Amino acid sequence: MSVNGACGNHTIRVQIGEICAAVVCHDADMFERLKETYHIFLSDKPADITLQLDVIDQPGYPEEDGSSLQGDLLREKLNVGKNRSFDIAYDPASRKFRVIAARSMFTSPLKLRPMNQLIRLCYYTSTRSEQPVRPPWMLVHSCGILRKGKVLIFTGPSEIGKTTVGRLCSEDYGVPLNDEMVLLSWPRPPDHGLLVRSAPILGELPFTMNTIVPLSGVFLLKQSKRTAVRRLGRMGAYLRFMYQIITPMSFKEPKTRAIVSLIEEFADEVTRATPFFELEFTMDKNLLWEVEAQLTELKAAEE
Amino acid sequence: MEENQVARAEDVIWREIDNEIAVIRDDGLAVYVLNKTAARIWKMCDGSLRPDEIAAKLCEEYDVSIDRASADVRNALTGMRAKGLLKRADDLTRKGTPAE
Repeated sequence: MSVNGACGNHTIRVQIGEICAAVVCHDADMFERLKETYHIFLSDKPADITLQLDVIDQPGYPEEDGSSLQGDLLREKLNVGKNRSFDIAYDPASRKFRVIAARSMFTSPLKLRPMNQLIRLCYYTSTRSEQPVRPPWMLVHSCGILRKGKVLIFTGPSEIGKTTVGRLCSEDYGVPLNDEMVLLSWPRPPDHGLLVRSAPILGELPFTMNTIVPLSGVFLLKQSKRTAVRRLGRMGAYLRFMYQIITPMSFKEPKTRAIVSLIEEFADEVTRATPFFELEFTMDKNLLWEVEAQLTELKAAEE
Repeated sequence: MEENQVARAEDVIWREIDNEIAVIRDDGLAVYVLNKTAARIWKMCDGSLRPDEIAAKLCEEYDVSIDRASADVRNALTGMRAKGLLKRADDLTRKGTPAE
């Protein structure tokens, strides 16, 4: 029976936003790693979707020996990096993914990070089947820092420095919620506030907490030899933020006009509801947090 | 000057923000930003107006000569057409086809 999200010795239930994914893995070693990694996201809620992960030892797998996915389920190879892919099938009737992956995919340096693709797929496949128009939360490629009861989001293209910002934060400055992705709500009437929610998406930093916190502001990162912040106009923020929203596609769903519209509408509403700043930053922690003083000046000037 | 009414292509999504317009291909692969004048022209590309009629409306709205307005319309439509943001002339009926 379920104890803190672990059901028996091969199933855990992982909370992803408002959905719960049962992750089934019969490989004892892999199961223990999953349980340990996602322990702050384990849930006792009924599963909305199931992910059965079969780990095999050989890097490739034969098509005819029964270990590969057969039948008329929706299936495809899901690439997760150079020479790495999952063999993945989905049965919409039972809302169950079956995934076959080589054990080598989960070894250093990536560790369990290839799981991110599967977690994302579970989230959007489940939410878009129930709420085809708008998932209640959208995944945003960003580093979320909890500071003074609110979250600052630092976002930008890969390698721009999101993890660096997370590393620069200590307990004196803030707590990184996640240095890879967070879940961000749609703006809520009547105050149009936004909420940030921890996501079980692995970055380089460990998960620290599973929480929901109001959003304070969004910083679009720009590496520089100085530390400076400037308020972005709506168009600039909209154009840049749009590319940091994780495409909300369910399994085998093409990138249709509806998907692009969803991303575009989310970018419009978020940039309308919350301040966006461009942050030029160095690797200096103290300089980074001097930004706060500049932010205060900016806000005072606007008022 | 072209004679047909001009209409926005159907495979684009657009958003007006602070007097500018972002036009996004509905495959998400390209985004174009139209400045204030181009944005005003874009909004009139609903399939009901010919280029000369759009230029005339610009003259009504702004303190600008018809020659200048016509040149702006011509340049803007040429740019939009080159990027595939407008329907082709042979896609339009004689009376024009609203794009939305």
